[in-house]
Amino acid sequence: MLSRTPAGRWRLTERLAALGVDRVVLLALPAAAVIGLLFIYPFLYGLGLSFQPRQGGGILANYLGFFNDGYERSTISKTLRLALPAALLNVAVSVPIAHKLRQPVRGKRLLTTVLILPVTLGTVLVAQGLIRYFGPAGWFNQALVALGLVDAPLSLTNNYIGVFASLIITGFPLSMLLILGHASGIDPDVERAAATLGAGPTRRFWTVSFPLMLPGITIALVLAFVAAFAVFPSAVMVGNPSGSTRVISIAAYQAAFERFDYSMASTIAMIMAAVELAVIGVVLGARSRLYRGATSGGKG
Amino acid sequence: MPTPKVERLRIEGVTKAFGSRLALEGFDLEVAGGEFVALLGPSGCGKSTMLNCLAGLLPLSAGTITLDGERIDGLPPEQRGFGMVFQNYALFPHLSVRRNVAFGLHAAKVAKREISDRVDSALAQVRLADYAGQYPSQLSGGQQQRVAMARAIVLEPALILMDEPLSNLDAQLRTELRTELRRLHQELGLTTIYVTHDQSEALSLADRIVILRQGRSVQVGTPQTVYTEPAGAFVAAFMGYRNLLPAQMKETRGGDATVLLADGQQSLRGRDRTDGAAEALVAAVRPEDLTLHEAAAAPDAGGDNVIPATVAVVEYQGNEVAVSAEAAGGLWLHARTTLRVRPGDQVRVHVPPARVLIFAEDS
Repeated sequence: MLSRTPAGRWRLTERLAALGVDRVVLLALPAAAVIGLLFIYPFLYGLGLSFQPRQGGGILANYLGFFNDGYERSTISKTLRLALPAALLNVAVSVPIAHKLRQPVRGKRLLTTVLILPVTLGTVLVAQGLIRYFGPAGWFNQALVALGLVDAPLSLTNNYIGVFASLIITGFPLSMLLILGHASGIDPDVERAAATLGAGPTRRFWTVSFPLMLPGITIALVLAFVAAFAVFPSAVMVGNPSGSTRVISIAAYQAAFERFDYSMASTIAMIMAAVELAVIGVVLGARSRLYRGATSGGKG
Repeated sequence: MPTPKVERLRIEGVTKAFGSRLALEGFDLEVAGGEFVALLGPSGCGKSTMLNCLAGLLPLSAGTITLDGERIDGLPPEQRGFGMVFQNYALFPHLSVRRNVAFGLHAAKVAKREISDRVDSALAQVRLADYAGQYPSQLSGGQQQRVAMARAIVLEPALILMDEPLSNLDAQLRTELRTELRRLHQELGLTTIYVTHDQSEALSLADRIVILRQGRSVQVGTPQTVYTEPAGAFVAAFMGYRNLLPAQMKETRGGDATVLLADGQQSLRGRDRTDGAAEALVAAVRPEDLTLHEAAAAPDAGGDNVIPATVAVVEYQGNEVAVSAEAAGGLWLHARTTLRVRPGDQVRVHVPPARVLIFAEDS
């Protein structure tokens, strides 16, 4: 029912509603302003900065410099070599576990708590733990040597393996929780219906559960990748920051705080963003190719 | 009518425990091929549990299920070949109507050509041929229900299981689809087990009704039998005997009994359905079997078996009104009448003795 003011005009709320605007949406404005101030403005500022090279030489000089320098350019592939397999592995392992855990299972809460712990600890603490545990004098290697499985300690830290392990430890819980959260919302009767229609467990998974879990899987994969691509502390602490794990964020850090070339640092940050967007684009494109149609349930 | 694909489904001593709670306790039932059996009972009586056990979605705690002499209770659902229609339809939201219906045929590795033909004919059966390309979320509740039906019948299952399939629909659609379900059952010669808490659904659809109470069946019979001859107070309450008046036995003679109602003053004659041992009884009468007379206009109307009462609530229902009236001793009577009564009116409620069933209270 529309109420009118004494003047006979509809109230603002109703005029907005007629335009499809809910007054409550206006509450999002402060948040939008903060995002604008803290994210969009700095981003545009950085973008502008990246086209103003310190040494001059045209607006693209920084970009050309980055791609012409093999040492710098290789940071992209080094980071991708870490981030892509880590994100894929985290998600690939999460999917079957989330699929099992989507129904009420005993001990689910305990498991969730255990999963959240590494996230709350932060990468630095995890990296320190890795050094202690996986290092040449760490328990893991000592145990292997004591058991006679290896002659000399394996080098598991200060290289690719150390960083990769750190990305798994901090990244897996996040993927797992995201996928589980989404999978818990899927009506369990749908898979039961598939069973009564003659589909065995494998067929049920691939034709029903997996497609329905796909939106959650996609989001988890994208976020896992973005988080892994920005790896910094563990690449320095448990990696080989001047060699195999000189990731792109280290290149940006060195430009900014060792050479004080903010323009170049901004350029590297922009290249980072471009690579991330490209990968996200590929993931989303693959998802829409793999499967079309509504993923949400029907009425009732 | 086509010949049914099974001859006999036998459920023997089926028990299902959830922790220490028994959802089903020694449940027995035999279903002949082509039969439409309704499992009727209030929520929590075990009817859906029984259906899930039949479908293979829940393991049995004890008992056996055999289909034409072959034990099936150990088989997973995908090997039983039963169709199931869920209360919330459980359609595949990511598949079109056509792909939903074809799902079981794909799983059974039926040839492409045949799949297409059978899906077309199943969609025609449920009158959804024009919606093949739509997704479930684009359909109304009634249409989704029909897709769920088509998805089950396209496999020509030995047995079709329905779990309150109409309970999410509005009243008008419910009656419409009820007719449709019965038509499909007859046309396809399906053997159907139908779970519901709605007595009118069970009465109108089923060849036989099983009434469950706390995991046990308390009466099995044709709709006519359970309607006119309920086995106890519980079944009577479910079958529309809305007046369940607390009573004690005064005398019983040759199948007829006279009881004293709650206040001990009012006596009432009816048919004795007790085993003779029970102390606490109830006199069960349907609202439509009571006749109302205005006390002022006809002080002696109705002869004996009359309870004087005061009208408290009147609900208009078209041809007639539903009246709730209070009698001495805090007794409430529910009746239907064409009289124009108003709250506060004094009435005499006549109860034909042949329409009163006297049960033990806990029966």
